[in-house]
Amino acid sequence: MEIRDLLSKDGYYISPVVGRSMLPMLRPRRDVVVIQPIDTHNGINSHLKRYDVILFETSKGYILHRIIDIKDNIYITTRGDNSHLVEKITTNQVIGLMSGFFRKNTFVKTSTMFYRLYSRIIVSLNLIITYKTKWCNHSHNSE
Amino acid sequence: MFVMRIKQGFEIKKVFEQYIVVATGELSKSFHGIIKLNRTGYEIWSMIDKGLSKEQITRHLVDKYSIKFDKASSDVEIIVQQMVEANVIEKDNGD
Repeated sequence: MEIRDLLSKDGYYISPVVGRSMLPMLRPRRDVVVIQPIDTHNGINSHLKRYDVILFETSKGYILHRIIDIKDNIYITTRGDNSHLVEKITTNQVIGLMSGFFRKNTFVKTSTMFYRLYSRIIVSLNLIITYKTKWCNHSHNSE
Repeated sequence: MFVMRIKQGFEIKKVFEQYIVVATGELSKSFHGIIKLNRTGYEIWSMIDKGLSKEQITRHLVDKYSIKFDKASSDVEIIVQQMVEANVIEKDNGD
């Protein structure tokens, strides 16, 4: 059964994390995420916002990354917390929203103040590292 | 008599009042999907996890729910069999 079908049937989807792109928050094959469906109308979604972690579908498969920009509630830019590469997607590709994750036996809700603060810090840090890397590469190439 | 043991890597999570078993670690490479348990299933799972035998689990259910031994024994047998078929628990002969 596809993830979309499971989401509409059960109202949630639960799975261990695969891949390192969301480190240090989500540890591969150790932490378990809970995904919930989002309401969309004509491909437009007003619930998704910056810093949300979403599960979406691409030609390469399923990806769980964080929204770093969203325009007109349709055009979304995402990036893994541990990655400098961004993905440009549309709301139609979004399968669900991460509502929380299990770190061992503790469930971390994405609605908590601590989590929201963490999200902002991790995105800011990623931006600084990305610009620093680009600047270093540019300086190196100019020499 | 054999000893039942839940395979390493299976973890139980409570999601929206539902008990869900997921595979983590190396096991998640071969076991995809989830197992949903009701309250009784969760209790039996927890008791197997603690190393209790089928008879001990049955006696616990008889005492707790005041049901007949044969009925409890049959229920435990069915759930254990399902777990064995799902490759979730291993049987160790205890040799």
